[in-house]
Amino acid sequence: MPDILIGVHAALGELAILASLWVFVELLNPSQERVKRAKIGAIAIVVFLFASWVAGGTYYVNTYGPSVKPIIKAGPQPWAHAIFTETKEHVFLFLPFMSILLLAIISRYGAAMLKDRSMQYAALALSLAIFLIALSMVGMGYVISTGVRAGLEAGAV
Amino acid sequence: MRISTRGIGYSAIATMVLITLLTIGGELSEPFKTSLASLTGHHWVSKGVLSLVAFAVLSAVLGAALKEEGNIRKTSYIVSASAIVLAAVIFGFFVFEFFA
Repeated sequence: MPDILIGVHAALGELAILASLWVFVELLNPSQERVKRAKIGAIAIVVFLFASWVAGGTYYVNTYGPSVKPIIKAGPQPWAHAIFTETKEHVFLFLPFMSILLLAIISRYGAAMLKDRSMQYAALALSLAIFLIALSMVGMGYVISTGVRAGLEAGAV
Repeated sequence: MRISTRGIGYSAIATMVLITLLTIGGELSEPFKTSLASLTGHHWVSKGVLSLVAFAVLSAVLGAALKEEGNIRKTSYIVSASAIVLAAVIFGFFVFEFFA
């Protein structure tokens, strides 16, 4: 049976993606109410990303490394680990820090966004970058899953 | 002490550069990777802990040193672009390493 932590990690990551899209949409045409909701969304991104980091990290260290990685490496798609897991596990580490900056910008300049478009663009750019990088995590997760499946089908372990 | 937003932004950039250097350095040097692993028991956990510590320390230092006033939009654009470029560097490195 698959480890539940991988599902928790994926779910939390997807909630962070949805929250980053939410923040982006709220700030496209900011009003006082929308900025207030964007701040809630930015807090949600931080919380979901850190929780996803803990869940994914625990799974990665305790389950993926000892049990899953050998299957991928011995299977027909070893690049799924060598390229995609390696990239995913390191690029993911960027996201929590970007999310803290986004929260700081919205917290401090939320009111200014109603008059100053440069503050609005600052938050829009960052929420979009978080959304795109986090979305790429989902794609890489899919590729890694195909690597495991291919390894199991080939009877790699 | 109030930490400036620009300080947080530049700390995020420095932390992402650190993560990239630790990642590539660990792949190019086995002793370095082993020393990273010896800190916490796993090289990836060590990278995470080091990045958290670096971000906290840099945010305190740069956040106090840099004034709040400044071009926040520029800071945000640089952070966003840095993240995408550094992610591409890490991906490119592992593609090269796999096929080399």
